[in-house]
Amino acid sequence: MAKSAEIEDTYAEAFAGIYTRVIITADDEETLRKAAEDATATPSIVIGRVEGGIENWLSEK
Amino acid sequence: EKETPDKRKGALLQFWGGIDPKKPFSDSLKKFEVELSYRIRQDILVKPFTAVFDAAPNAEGKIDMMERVGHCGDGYEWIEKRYGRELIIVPIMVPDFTIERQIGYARGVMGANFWIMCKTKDALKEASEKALKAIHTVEGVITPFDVCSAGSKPETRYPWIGPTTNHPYCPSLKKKLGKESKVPEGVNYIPEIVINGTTMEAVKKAMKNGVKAVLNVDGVVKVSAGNYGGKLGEYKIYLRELFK
Repeated sequence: MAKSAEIEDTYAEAFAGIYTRVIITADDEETLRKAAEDATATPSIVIGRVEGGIENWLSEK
Repeated sequence: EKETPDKRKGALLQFWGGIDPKKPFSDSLKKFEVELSYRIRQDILVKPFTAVFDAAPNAEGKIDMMERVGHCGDGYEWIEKRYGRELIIVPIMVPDFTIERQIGYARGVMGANFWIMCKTKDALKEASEKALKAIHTVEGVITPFDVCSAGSKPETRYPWIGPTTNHPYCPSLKKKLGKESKVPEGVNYIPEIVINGTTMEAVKKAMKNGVKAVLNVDGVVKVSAGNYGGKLGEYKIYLRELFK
């Protein structure tokens, strides 16, 4: 069995940031996926702009 | 099963902006508002039949989207109450774009990260997939870079372009740097996973899940993390403490 990897005795440095959290909806899956991916592409905080990500996908009810 | 306000297919997104410690918070907030509005306009509003609703869990304040998004309607936009929310309807050539008027903002934790030191490409692929899957089981977090190939450092010869490569951790420079290199023996790939989250609790849980998911992947030698000697960030997340 493979040996478990070592966890270095170190820390990650993290920051306080401002966030918004939104639900976006669309008529069809392809538009939804493109909108979600486009809007959260280009992580840019390190160059003074914004970044984002997809937290989860939601279903209609 | 989660549902959306207008009962259509949806996605839960987070957008993040930095806080400049040298300026009043309102400056950072204003800058964030401007950049956020561009993302919404150029990536969501321009796609047919999309809508945006607030989902902030514990908002510190609200951004009125009328100023920078609503007015895309050139004054022809209007307000309606639907689903118990105040919405701006922006008339566009494929009618219409809808956005909740007040979008909540809050302060969270960003830039948490860990590095997966890998021997092989297979290890890199397997570990990355497992890490992301494990992280996304936690509510309230995102991975803005997913698997990042380019961990950076603040000190640079070229400050006007932004942060540049973290050279002591570049496997292809190991020989050239000699003692300055911090790449362990046998390691050929060091991807970074960055986690932003609404609370420190969520971020730590996501970090723990992500690290745990890669420890037993064949070809993963070590897990580490990026920091700036504690000089820049407010928080230090110790990897080993996650498992105590």
